[in-house]
Amino acid sequence: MKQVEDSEILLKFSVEKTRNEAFNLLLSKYQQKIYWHIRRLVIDHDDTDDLVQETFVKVWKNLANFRSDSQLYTWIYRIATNESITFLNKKKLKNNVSLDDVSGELAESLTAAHYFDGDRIQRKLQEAILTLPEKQRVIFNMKYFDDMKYDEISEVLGTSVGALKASFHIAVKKIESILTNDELEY
Amino acid sequence: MNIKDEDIAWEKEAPTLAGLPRITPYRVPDNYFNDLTSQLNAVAFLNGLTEKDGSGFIVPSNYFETLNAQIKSRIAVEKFKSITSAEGFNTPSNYFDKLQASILEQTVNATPAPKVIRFWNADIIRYAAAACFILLTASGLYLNQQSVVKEETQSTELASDVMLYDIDEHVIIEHLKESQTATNTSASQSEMESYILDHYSSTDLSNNL
Repeated sequence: MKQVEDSEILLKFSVEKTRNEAFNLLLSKYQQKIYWHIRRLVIDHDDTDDLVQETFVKVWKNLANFRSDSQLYTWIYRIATNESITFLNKKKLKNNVSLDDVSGELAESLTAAHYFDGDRIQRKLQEAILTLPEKQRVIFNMKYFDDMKYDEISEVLGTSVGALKASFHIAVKKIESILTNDELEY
Repeated sequence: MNIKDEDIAWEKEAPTLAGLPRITPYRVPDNYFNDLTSQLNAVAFLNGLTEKDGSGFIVPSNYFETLNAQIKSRIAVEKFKSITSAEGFNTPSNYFDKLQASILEQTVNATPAPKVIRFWNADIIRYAAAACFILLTASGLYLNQQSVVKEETQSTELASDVMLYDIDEHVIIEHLKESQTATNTSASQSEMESYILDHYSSTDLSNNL
């Protein structure tokens, strides 16, 4: 299926008659990407579902005011990232734990059978990713899984390209070390 | 720098990570994504409904026209109240002058209360008092014992004195006379001779004669 261009979506959205159609096109194009982006951060499907809905409601409400100084794609990613980080911070405050402890809880949820569908090395990779600091985890996910450019990640997070490269480099080394030690053990 | 160049840089440093398939191995409920579009549409629609101006609420006619005048009159009333309340109460004359002095007296100029050192709080005083008490008690007991003995002798003397005081004088004089006469002897001539012969030798007698 041919992907609709962002410009066409924005054009249709600007017209009230075709607004719903434009929104449907936007959902078709981005809902799975946004879902997995959020899911990699919060792990739980139900939490992800809530956050996906909140993200796209915000998109619906603010798309009319969207300025084309950034890409539509990165703009939606930014909303989804902020929603996810806000959710994790609330979870931290609610449980009165540090963000590291929240990551620990998320790692524990990996062991639940109805969440995880991978082999041992995949589990090890996911556990290794959860050891990363929150922002570093976001950068790693967008670079490694979503294959985004540093420029696009910079638009999403508002961080310089140099800082992003350094952060990703450190994350890669750390995860490689964990995976390599795991191979030695087995 | 394209993505490939960016990837090559880190893939060389992390071959294990680079060799893994880039998947997210989490389960998703069946038909989730098929239903997600309609679900999101419904959520967005509902959200739009709740934010429509005046949805479901009735406003009295000409309300907004009179609202401005009502707000202004309310503000004027509040101002009037604040002015009258400031002058509605009386305070005693020179109250505030005295108040400052009173506060200063109790705070800045307050003399610190003298420190009370309780005499009996020190342990050494308590031990000394206990020792004195014991000493006094023992001394008292000892002295009491001595006085009992004295009293007994005194009481014996007193008793004899008392007895003498109780006896009649006439009886005492007769007793004394009898004791005196008991010492006087009235021996006969023969008895004297016998005595002398018994107690003195012939030599003594011849010498004395």
